[in-house]
Amino acid sequence: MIELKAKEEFLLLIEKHQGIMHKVSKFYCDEEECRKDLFQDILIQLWQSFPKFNNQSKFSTWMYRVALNTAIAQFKKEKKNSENPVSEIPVNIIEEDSYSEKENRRELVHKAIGKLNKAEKAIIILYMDDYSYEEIAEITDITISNVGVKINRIKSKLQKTLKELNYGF
Amino acid sequence: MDFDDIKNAWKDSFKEDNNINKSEIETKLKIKKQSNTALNKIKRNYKFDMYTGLILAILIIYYINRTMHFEYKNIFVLCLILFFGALLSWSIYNFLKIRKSEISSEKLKPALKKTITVIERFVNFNKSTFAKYLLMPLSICTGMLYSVFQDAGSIAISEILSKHELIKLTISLIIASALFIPLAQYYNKKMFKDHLDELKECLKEFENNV
Repeated sequence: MIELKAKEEFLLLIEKHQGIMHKVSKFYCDEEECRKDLFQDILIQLWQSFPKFNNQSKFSTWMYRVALNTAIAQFKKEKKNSENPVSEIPVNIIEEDSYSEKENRRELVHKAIGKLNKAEKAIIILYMDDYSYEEIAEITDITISNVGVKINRIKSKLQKTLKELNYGF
Repeated sequence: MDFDDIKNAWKDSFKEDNNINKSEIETKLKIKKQSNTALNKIKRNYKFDMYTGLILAILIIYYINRTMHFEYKNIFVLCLILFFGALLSWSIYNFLKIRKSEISSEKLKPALKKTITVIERFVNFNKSTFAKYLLMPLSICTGMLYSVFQDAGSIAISEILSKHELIKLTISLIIASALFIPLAQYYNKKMFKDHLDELKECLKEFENNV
């Protein structure tokens, strides 16, 4: 009975906050199959860790912690995109009719993010999702000042990559 | 280039995500899929070692006991029991150490440190003194004893194993151990080294203070 209630509560919370799983899967995987696997893996890890969730932090914060830990520790069979030099990323996507400018920009942002390392991805995903420096420090266990410096560094890195990709020229 | 523009483009890309409903989430939970995280992969590897070790031990000992007939069969079976016993105890000991490790709800940096420790322990399996100087030579020695005993048949070992032969066997044992140990280490590294390096790099990034 208690387990059923817990499961129901868990499912409701996951349904509400599933965006986190989509974001993390998309951030850490380039291929659809990998995304699906990671999504599933995160979901299972969340369910297994749910009894330890003690409401001391927000559910979304706890969920990010589990999702990022799973994504960082996942095994990658191949590291195709992360090793691609920027020059190999197609920059002529905008020329294709099927792509609107907005879609093209999204695509380029994801390509640029794909070039970050796992730790940088974890920090910037939280920043992009409007988490405060304090919250990011709490999730990652690094100091607030360090979070600030790292975010600035990652931002510059992203801007540089996007410039090379002719983003918003 | 304004970063808010980049942020908005990123946020926009998730607006069209196909959200799944409660029953779909429940179905996904029911699907028993192998986890691809390092910790779970290592747990599976230890379990595989334990089960295959146990099955092999039973099969080999049963086969030798039933079909082989040579003077020193009992000594040899004892050697086999010793070897497989040591192998299984070692695998169980390592498995028990990480069996209850559940790191996914911890903060990122400590969770990463734990994952690295677990992988290193696994990668270093063959580097440990026990495995290196006892388990590996013991397995090679068992194989050598098997051929010696079988060749001997009912002849006394002292008749076929001269001092000279004994030295030759010992040298072969040392050479075989020296060859197999790095081979086993290479295999483990090949399996986990890249991933371990990537995680260490990630930890360095988290620890890199301003």
